[in-house]
Amino acid sequence: MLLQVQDLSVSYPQFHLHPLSFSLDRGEILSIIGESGSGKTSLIQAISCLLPPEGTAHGQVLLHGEDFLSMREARRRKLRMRVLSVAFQNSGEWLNPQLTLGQHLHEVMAPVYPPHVCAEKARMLTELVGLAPTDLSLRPHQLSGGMVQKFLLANAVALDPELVLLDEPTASLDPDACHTVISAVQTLRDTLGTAFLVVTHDMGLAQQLSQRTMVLYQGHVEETGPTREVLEQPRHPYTRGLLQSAVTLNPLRDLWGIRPNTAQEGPGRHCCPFYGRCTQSIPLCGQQAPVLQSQPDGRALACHRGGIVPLLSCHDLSHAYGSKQVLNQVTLTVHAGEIVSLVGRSGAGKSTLAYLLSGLLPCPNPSAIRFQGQEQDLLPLHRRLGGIQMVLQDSQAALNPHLTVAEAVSEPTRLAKVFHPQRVSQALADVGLYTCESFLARQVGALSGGQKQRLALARALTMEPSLLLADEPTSMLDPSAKANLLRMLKGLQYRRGFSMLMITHDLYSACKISDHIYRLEEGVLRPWDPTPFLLQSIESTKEEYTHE
Amino acid sequence: MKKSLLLPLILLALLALIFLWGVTLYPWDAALPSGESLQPPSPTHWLGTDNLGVDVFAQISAGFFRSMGIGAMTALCTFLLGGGLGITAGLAGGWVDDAIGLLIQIFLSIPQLPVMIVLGAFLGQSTWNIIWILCLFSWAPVAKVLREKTRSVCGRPYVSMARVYGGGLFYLIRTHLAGDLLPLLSVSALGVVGKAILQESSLAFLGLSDPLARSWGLMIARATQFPGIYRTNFWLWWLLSPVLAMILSTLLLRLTVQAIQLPKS
Repeated sequence: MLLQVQDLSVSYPQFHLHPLSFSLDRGEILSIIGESGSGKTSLIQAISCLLPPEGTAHGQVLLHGEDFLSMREARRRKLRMRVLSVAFQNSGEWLNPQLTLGQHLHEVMAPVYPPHVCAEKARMLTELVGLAPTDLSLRPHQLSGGMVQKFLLANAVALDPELVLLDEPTASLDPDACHTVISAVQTLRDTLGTAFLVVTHDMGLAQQLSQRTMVLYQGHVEETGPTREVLEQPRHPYTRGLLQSAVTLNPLRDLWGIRPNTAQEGPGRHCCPFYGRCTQSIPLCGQQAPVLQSQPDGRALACHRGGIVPLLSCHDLSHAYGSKQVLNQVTLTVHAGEIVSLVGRSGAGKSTLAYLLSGLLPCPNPSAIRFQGQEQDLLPLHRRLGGIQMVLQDSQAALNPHLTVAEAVSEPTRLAKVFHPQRVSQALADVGLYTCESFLARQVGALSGGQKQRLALARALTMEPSLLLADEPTSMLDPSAKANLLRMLKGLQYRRGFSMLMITHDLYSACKISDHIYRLEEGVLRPWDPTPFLLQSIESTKEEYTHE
Repeated sequence: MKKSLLLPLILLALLALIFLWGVTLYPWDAALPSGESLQPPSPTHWLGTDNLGVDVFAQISAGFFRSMGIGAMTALCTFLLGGGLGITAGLAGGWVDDAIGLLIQIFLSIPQLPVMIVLGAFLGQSTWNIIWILCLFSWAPVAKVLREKTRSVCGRPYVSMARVYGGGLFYLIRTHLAGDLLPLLSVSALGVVGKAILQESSLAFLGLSDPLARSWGLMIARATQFPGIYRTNFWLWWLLSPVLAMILSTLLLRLTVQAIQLPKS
């Protein structure tokens, strides 16, 4: 094994990188993703034994079985650049302003190669990372950020090391240069079997380069696993939040970062680092940090709740009206904090599915539907805060025209005995209705179709549902009201981890806000993802303009 | 207030005031002879007198309040019985609905007049018996309408949503059903008043009502039984005035009910 990191931890006065372990073999690329301040750079510094004086590292970093941290500096120096090399992020200051790039490379290579090989090698390296041979005569201050980045990579791989640690290798590069760097890394891996440890916050880079990914957050490893699986089916809420914030993975969708911290950390308590930002946290999360646990399929996860909670799921759900089979073994899961859209022709059984999932239609096989992982009687969930709420398609009929707005919107909270005027006015404001007394006293029958639709939605939102089943929630709205409403729903998802199963004909809206889209056709449910088509066309356009 | 409602209501009130005058300040009594028999209308006896010399206007006035009273009692009874049974059937469904439905159909298929006559004769000549008999035959159509309406309202999505939110039966009736059912029930019950007046008069005409009461039906019966009335001009005041009073009050009642039923324009 080339590199084995065992229980490596770093302590700074203000920051701790908690013990983590992993190993890396020849020709492997491991990416470590996480946002700024997650400890990615500290990790690289600790492995390469280049920590600033105030930081101390514990644990073992075994290079070919030999502990790199505890060996003598003289021995370490022999291994640096030959076995293990580092390219730091934005580190023009690591270069000597007095020397040209050629001289820098020469300095590195001279002890190993004879002079004529050095020159040849330098030319090859510049070519590899996408610099012109003439650039070798430039001095560091004459370089652009991207050129520094490329040169640092060239510098790091100058002696064909077995392991290269890359810190944000593409942070300041344009797409073209990015592509060059990626192919340089791949070439090196393929020809020399070089292993790379890539630290980045760019999901696209991780996706293109690495086989394995480790997600780091505030010095904790949250999730590890094969890159493709982690990106396609994140299990940790943090990973999902990170992915949802990645523009390269969501070209269509509205972007929302992870919500800011809402919890105050108790002093001296080591709670889950994501506690305050997580929308599914339980008291235990605030008391102790979860341990990274391996899962049967080879992935690992640190979460007290076992990862993103499946909020509502149905398994092999079938339904028939008389002899007409409407739903045929439908399997669907809505996770906490997800917006899932159900599209399909009218009469495809979308509403039937929603009625079954909400409990409004008695299910022939109740064990097929689970809420929060448990078989439950679905109707009582409509009568408590944080349960399920249903918004019917026909908002005209879903509201009693004789009631006033106030009576209609407060109905569920009054019946559930959780009524509070603040709740009602908040819900009305959320959907973009007036909260003044004169509007509250108006009769529902006197409202316009769009207002009724928003009122029906507000009524459901007063119960602060964790899952909203919405049948065509925007069909009656004008474009601006629709945009506001969809953003509001998305915002709720962002702030509260609210989930929604939206039934719609409107593919564009579905693409805009949904995390997953399913298509129901002739009773069969299939996932549908427009992103690949779109990405393909974006990529081909990009290729066109780079070729010109 | 709707204009179409205002006019019949004012006329009805005017009619009631005139008849109120007839039972209070008008000098003649409805039961005692007060002049020569068969006097034509004159300033002393506004609508003349009958064969016993009793003032016709005084009799008609008394008959108005009696008829209205019977009508109102029947309407109230219909409101409670028809509304109660109809709404119960619509809400409960199942065997209760079937049973009440059957009862409604039975009462709708009984020939009313013969049975009323038999019952009236059997129970004896009293005003309360008349009211009971009238009630017995007026609740069924109302219950039928209410049953259908209750069923249709219960099937509306907002009622099922209220059920989902945990609304109990009483809550559903109060909040979601009353708004639709109460106006319908009131109008149907009000419609019964006019019908009851006519039916009471018919029974009185047949001599099945209280013979001592001042009733329009009884007046008409007496007048028609007077030998040779059509060969004189007595019928002009003695017979025509109760008939016109009956038609006028029933018509105004009907117009009022119709105005209430019509949607606001």
